[in-house]
Amino acid sequence: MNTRYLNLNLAVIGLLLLGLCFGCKPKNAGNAVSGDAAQQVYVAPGSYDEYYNFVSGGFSGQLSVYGLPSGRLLRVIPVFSLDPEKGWGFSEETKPMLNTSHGMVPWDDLHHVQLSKTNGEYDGKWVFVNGNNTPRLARVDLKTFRTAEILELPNSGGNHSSPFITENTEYVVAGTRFSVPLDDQDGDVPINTYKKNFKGTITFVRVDKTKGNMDIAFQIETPGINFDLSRAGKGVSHGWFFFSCYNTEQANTLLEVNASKNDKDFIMAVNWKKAEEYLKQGKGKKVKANYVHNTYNEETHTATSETKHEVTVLSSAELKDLCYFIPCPKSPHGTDVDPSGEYIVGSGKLAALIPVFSFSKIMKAIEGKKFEGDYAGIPVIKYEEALYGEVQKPGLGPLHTEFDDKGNAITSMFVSSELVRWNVKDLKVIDRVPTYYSTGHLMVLGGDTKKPDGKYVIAYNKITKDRYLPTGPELAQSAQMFDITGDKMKLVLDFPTIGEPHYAQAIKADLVKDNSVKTFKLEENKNPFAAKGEGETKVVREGNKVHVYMTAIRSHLTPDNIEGIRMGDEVYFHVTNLEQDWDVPHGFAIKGANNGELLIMPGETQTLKWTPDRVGIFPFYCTDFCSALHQEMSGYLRVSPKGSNVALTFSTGTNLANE
Amino acid sequence: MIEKDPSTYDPKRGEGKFDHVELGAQLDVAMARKGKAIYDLKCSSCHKLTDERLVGPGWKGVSQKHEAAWIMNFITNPDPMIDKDPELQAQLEICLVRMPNQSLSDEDARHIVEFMRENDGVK
Repeated sequence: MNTRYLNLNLAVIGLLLLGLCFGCKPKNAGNAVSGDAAQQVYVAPGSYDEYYNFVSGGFSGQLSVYGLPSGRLLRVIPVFSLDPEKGWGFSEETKPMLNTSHGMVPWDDLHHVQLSKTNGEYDGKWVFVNGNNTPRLARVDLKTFRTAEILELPNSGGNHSSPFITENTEYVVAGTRFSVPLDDQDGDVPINTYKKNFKGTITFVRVDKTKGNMDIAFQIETPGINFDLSRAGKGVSHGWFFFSCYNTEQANTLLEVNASKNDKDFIMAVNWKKAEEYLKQGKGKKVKANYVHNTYNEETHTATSETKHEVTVLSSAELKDLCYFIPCPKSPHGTDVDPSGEYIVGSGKLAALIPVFSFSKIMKAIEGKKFEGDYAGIPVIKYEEALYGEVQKPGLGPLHTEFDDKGNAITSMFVSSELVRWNVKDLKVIDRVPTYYSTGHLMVLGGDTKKPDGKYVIAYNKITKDRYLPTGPELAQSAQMFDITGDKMKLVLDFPTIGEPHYAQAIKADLVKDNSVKTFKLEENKNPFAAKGEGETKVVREGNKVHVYMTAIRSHLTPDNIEGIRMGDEVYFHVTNLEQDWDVPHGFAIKGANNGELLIMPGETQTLKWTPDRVGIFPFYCTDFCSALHQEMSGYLRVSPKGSNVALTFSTGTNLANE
Repeated sequence: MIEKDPSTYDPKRGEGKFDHVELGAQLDVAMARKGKAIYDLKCSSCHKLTDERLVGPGWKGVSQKHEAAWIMNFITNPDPMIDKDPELQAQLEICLVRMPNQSLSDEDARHIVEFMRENDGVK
């Protein structure tokens, strides 16, 4: 036998022995993994993952994309936050995307992820995400994996119960987390007049079927409370939407105590088909508002920001049959709808049980007016009349629930750090598995659709502690993937994530990967500053504004010698990437630029604004290693004093050495 | 069909979808004009119309030196040909930049050949 193979065999036997030894020890966080876990999540070099996992980047403001089952990070898509690496919010073309009614907002807190759906299943067209801080919705296009649209939400104090969508992506919703005086009211009121002056709103945003463009259809004005999460009905409950509510105490200070007094808060059921009828009947009130709508055009490679001035508002107190409250124990967080649409699971953060509501019972209760009274004009259904049953002793701190393909639900437990699997029909707990540590959101593959894939559940944990090598006081967040194909949930993978992940969703790669754009066609580039070929490169002075129409191709920039720039000028580098091959972006950077770089995809034009701050020679270069002569892909720009008579000249390859 | 074995590589034809290209005795002016537009957009950054090398070699004489099929195969299928063609390998040692795939359609490639012929004096 060849000695090399002998050594290999010995190594394998050694590993097996090691495995056996670990097997003898009591289970702890370090070894609660079964022997075949590595095989399950191993994706060989050069092979593709089976799923794309879109994971919220939390307070990074971005959306991350992982491959599953490997847990490999594939991309971070800039959405609400500046990204100097990709020029996002730094190039002139992308700046308008971050515009709001407050001006340019360079950051947000991205919480939830929703893949677009057709017939209650993912269709692979778009991903919707919410901005929690300065209330916004964004749409990411899965052809380009770039943010295509951002819509600001008026009359909102923070967009948390969002961007949940209906089963055919008819609507994306947004419910305000913090109630506030509405935008057209005088907001200069004492904070302790909350009950009188503060209002909540639920926004329904229409989505164009083919292009995906978002547009506010209507808002529902509600009493001042906090909206936390939401889910659309599906199947039998299509046409309804469910929002969890807390702070029904209407506290305006020390919410930790004062918003936790009531035994029950509410899940608000909204009949959006009814809202559509009211809208048609003209029952909506036109209200003045001020919000922006930003869209990115892939032909001009340019974003535009449009300000809008009006929304249509429906009143939840005045319009009957629009909203109903269902009592739900102790500050419900997740409100999740099972694949059939019949069962609605409320997860009371502070409750010792999980109530499961029945849609058909809710409908009967409404019909039979089984109300215990009303709350600010909205009927409150009797708890027992809406309840299907309760899951007893599920664990501590239930937050979110998703569903598998076998009629079970899996709920994340924040306080007791575990996932708990229970049967939706008999409400009995089947299995529980520890997580490391304090799980927030969880995700089953397809777990919010009509047909969950049910292969894995991933816990997105809030606390990391000892899971990875220490990196100072701040640690990567930890995600844990469990195989759920068998009776017991089995831990198979830990992987670190960016920011603080909240919700995530995963889609079969086959529904997305073949539509992925590889290059933008130069012939279709409609950017007004594009140089389509080196023959169109030029430098044009308009007063103190100088426009450089530049091209990039392996491996030179044209023009690469520019003279005649003067102090006081504003220089705009409009760089067109002439490449037409996949994966050949060029970058552009110039010394002293007090913004980011440009990263220009093949066939695209992007613009960097640069203001010289001193006289001298400024090098510029391509930042993305593009060929063997990448280091040569550079140029010089000469800055002369104000009023200088150095002529404006530009060239490549002709301004040869003078000596 | 992808030929894996370098010994089956035909240095006259190159490798790609084109076998034999019918060229007119006279220049097709309309086609050459279209070829020029593509040249301006996608080729002129690296190729001069004289015999002077810029990033890649100048185009003067190229239509006499190579079969039209070879040119069309090369410009639509550059990477596999750079890996196999003896002349392209020698060029790579001089130029050091692999000619990029500029996503030319079959028609684009034919128009480029006509423009090269015009550049080489075909009337």
